Amino acid sequence: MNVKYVNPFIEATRNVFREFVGLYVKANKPFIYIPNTETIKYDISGIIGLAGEVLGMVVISFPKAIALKTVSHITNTEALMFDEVAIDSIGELINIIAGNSKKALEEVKIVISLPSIVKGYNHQFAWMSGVPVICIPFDLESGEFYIFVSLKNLII
Amino acid sequence: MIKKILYGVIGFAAGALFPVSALMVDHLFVHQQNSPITTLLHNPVHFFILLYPALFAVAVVAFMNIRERLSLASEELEYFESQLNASGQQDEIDKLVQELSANLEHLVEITNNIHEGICVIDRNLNIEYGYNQPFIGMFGKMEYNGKSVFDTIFRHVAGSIKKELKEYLDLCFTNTATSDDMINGVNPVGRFTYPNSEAGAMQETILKSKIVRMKNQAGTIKNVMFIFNDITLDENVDVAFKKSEKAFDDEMSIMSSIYRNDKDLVINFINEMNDVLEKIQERYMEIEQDRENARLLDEIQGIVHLIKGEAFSLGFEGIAHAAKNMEDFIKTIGDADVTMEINLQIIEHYEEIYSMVNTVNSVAQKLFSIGEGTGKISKDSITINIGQFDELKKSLRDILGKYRKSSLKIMELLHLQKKVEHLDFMDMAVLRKELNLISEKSALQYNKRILLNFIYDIDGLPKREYRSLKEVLVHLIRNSAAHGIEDVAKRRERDKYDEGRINIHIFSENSEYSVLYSDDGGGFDLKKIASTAIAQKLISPERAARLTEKETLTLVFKNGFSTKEDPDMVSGAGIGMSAVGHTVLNSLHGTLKISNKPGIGVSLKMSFPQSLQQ
Amino acid sequence: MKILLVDDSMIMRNILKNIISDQMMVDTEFKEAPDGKAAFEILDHNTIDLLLVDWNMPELNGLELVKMLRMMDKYKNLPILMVTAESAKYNVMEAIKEGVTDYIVKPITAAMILKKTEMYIK
Repeated sequence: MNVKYVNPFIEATRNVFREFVGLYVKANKPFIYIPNTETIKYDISGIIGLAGEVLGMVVISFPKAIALKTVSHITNTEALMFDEVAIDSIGELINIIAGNSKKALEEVKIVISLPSIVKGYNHQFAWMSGVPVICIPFDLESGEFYIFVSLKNLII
Repeated sequence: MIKKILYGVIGFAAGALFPVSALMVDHLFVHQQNSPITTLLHNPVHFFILLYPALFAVAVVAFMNIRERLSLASEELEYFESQLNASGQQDEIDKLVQELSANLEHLVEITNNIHEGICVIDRNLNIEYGYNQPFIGMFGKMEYNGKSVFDTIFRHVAGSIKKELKEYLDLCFTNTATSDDMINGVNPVGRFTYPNSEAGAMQETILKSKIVRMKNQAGTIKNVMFIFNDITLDENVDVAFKKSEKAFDDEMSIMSSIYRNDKDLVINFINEMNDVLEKIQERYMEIEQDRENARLLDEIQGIVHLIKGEAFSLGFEGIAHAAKNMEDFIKTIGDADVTMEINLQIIEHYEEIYSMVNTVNSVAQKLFSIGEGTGKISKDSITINIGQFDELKKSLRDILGKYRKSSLKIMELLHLQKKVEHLDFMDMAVLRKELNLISEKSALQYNKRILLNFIYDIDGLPKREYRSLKEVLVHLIRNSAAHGIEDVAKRRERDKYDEGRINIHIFSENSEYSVLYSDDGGGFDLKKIASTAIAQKLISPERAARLTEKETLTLVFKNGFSTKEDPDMVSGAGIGMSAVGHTVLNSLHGTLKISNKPGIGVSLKMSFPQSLQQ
Repeated sequence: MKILLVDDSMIMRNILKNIISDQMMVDTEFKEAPDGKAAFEILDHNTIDLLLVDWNMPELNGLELVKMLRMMDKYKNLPILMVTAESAKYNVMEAIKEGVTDYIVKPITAAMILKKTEMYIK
């Protein structure tokens, strides 16, 4: 795992949470994520596809309570369920995180896709086969959320 | 004109005071028998003294003239700056810039008094006549015979930036719709380092650049003005600021760890930490007395391991991390001697943990006293108010901003400090000084004459490598001084120069650092090495007899080979050589080759990998 | 004073609207569009003084919108402020080439938005 390519995502996530959400989050040690074997739990994800000189995906996954807490901070109103507002907020959040990460990865041109949102308990993603997935857990007050990064040709 | 005459008279009067008083002094105290007049007649040279009033008068007139002109220029300058600063008055600025671009000579005159370096570039990207004195100071004088700006200003800037810059400047001229702000946001030389040789020493200047585009009436861009600003000192202040900001963030994270834990647990932890840190101190004092006691080091390692675990379980990651570093460091010492350097490093590690525990303590004190004082806040219901922290951070930033502007002296100090630390990158010039000192001291101690020749083709080394390498070289120099280099009489007998030569050459080669070390002393005495090794039971006499020259030589690097610095020790055998071997192999993860020519000298080649972090 | 906000995120449009209407001294009217195509329609029927536009949007993205507008004489001098998460230098260069007037990288702060909008509202 090359720190050079993981750090931009950690930095961007921390900055975006501080500036856009208004919460301080703390990154824990990243690890290589093997689908179906981990014990992490989540209910909603925002996904951005990466194209250009690399192919890949950046995903933010939240357990329900943490997701609603984040959305409440963004909109300044209490979020109770995954409605249109919540989906919009999480989409914008991952968009800004992906867009900001590009700044520190300037040596490769990356084009980011529009965000998609997936709901459901521990839903699965179609990760690119043979490309490792890095999971970065973040502490947010009483729980955790996760940023998954999978970049072809870049992270080994 | 009247003013000038007046200045002339004042100057003359002031100038006259000097010769008159000089003659009076001469008369009163030196040649009392002579009157001032006879002194003059006595020595015609003294007549020159009478020219002083005239010279003074001229000087004063000239000075007042320049001052007047300067104040005029600075008024003009203030007006120029106020116009530039008045944001929102875009039209007026445009008009001013237009006026200026119509008369570049005038621009140069005004901008000569601005601290920033300024140059003006035309559509073909050539530098026009418009560049000011500070610009010349930064880049040297331009020859403006149609040479492109890239060949002149940026000859020191890397190749890929040149191409980027050309593309960028083309954009500046063609895209009139885009604001200067946005254009400046992607300036490829918005911030760049620029090697600058000052008083013979190379140093890096950090320059910031900004462009102002000069439009003509039709709205097309005729010229682009580059403004360069030396921000080397400001950067240093920024580094200092970031450090303080990091300290603040650390405190925040400690706070959140404290919230997450039970109050009693935290108090217990702090008390326990204070106890064990005291224990480390005790053990440490014992080590000072008894350096060979490996058990003490093991005990310290055990305590540090305990700290790591405790801190980790409570979420004090900073402490856990520092403890891990210390533990790792103690592991690397192994069986080696606890040298002064190692001692210092242990203290550094200890102090880091100590200061962090102290921070946790003070943060906890503050928090718990709030809780108890008001009786309202219980530890599990506090939420951190980010707004407040941001406010605090902002005021911190403001204070630093003010202090940055006012205190040039402190900036200079920071600059110096940075030079010394060089962000954990140690300068080879410092090593040269240190080694020269060591060689002089050793020469004195062993009554030899030594000439140290230290060459390096690298700028510096990471702190860790630097320390290890320094230790190795110190051992080698002392060994050369004590046992390698002969005394003057012996050297004359062997037809050598009176001064013994030690040559050190450090260079980088195939992503490795290499160090060549040689002296022109008597070389190692193989027989004595063998006998010492046998006496120290490092090898059996039978095996020693079978060893080749090379194999015998490598015995000096063996762990345990006579490590004591004893002036009565058999000459020809290495002192501290085992430490050299250990450091090169284990700390630097390098290789070591030695060749020995009895009577002629010793040479060593050490290579070690460049660390991945750099 | 008419400002057109083009962003596919409704939340983002609201944030921008709140910042500008809370602080701006001038009376402002807002028009909103979730993508470039809708923005075009609004521009056809309104005189807009300032355009705030996101980059990544469905249908017609922000950069394509700017490119098309700058080709029309009517919009040659319209101030266009791009507000986007795209932070890389090559993105900004691209935006300059297409004729974007100014650029703000998300996440935004109120101060930044106000400073820039005030510059283009006279």
